[in-house]
Amino acid sequence: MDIVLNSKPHNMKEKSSLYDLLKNLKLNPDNVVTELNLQIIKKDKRESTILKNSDRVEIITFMGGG
Amino acid sequence: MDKLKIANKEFSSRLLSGTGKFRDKADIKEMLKQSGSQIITIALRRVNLENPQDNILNYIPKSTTLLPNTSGARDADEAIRIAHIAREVGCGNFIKIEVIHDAKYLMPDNEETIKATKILAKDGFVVLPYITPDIITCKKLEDAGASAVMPLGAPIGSNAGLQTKALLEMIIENSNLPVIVDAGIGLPSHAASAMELGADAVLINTAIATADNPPLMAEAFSMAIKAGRVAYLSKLQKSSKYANASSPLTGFLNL
Repeated sequence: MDIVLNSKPHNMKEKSSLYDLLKNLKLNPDNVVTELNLQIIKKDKRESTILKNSDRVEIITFMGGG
Repeated sequence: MDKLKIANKEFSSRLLSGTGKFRDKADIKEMLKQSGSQIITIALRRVNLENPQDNILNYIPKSTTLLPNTSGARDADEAIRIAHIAREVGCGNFIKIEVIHDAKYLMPDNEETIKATKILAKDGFVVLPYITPDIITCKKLEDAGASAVMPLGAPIGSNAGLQTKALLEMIIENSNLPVIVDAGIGLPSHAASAMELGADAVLINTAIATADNPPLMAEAFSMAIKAGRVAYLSKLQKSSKYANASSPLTGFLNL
């Protein structure tokens, strides 16, 4: 299936969870925030959140700023 | 030196540091050590999927209070969305509201900032709004539940110093909230001046981050801010147009 990850198309296995996505991207799950279709998905809900075709996922983190 | 109090927290340093524009992120760690800063600003953006391991949090000691900003927000709703995302990372509830849609001078939108402050303060955030200096806005922010005000000294990144000095003085004289002068401070002497005026703290980013030696510049700012604060506490005297002799005015041998 294809999701939209940070505005770019991203191919994934069917029935993958948000947690699987972070794991595949080798991201530290504690340092990022996940949004699914503009709704924040809390850290403890990532495993039970199964992604669907065309879902829009944003993965956001801190960076340098003033 | 006396402590800076924001919401229910106390800080011994009155220098808040920004983490943008550093050529080498490793300098941030050393900068924090030399500046003594206990509050630092950070921004939120999409993860760089090309280099996902490189996270700024790896360079910041856990004891530091993080002050995420809402940069990128063009109205109150966007600032509120960013604030919620920031809190979700799990690094506290401090938020610097920054609502900007003026690309030339990066002036903040005070009206949208007040709107966002009201909603976020009610929702349990410790809100520090970045504003164009104006006492009416400060009063409204106080009523809206802000925990400090952050008026600008000059446009962001301009290094132009305290161009808004007269307005800052009005705010400092009338504010019941801590006043943190943010933006435009380019020299340690600018920071010392802000503290001599009675500002409670200053926030420095560009001037430190873009120095050839950022940790050394951080040390310079730290000293200037301490000097300015201690001078303010010692009650400075007014200047005068005419001389006022420091030595006895009698002739040398005429006692």
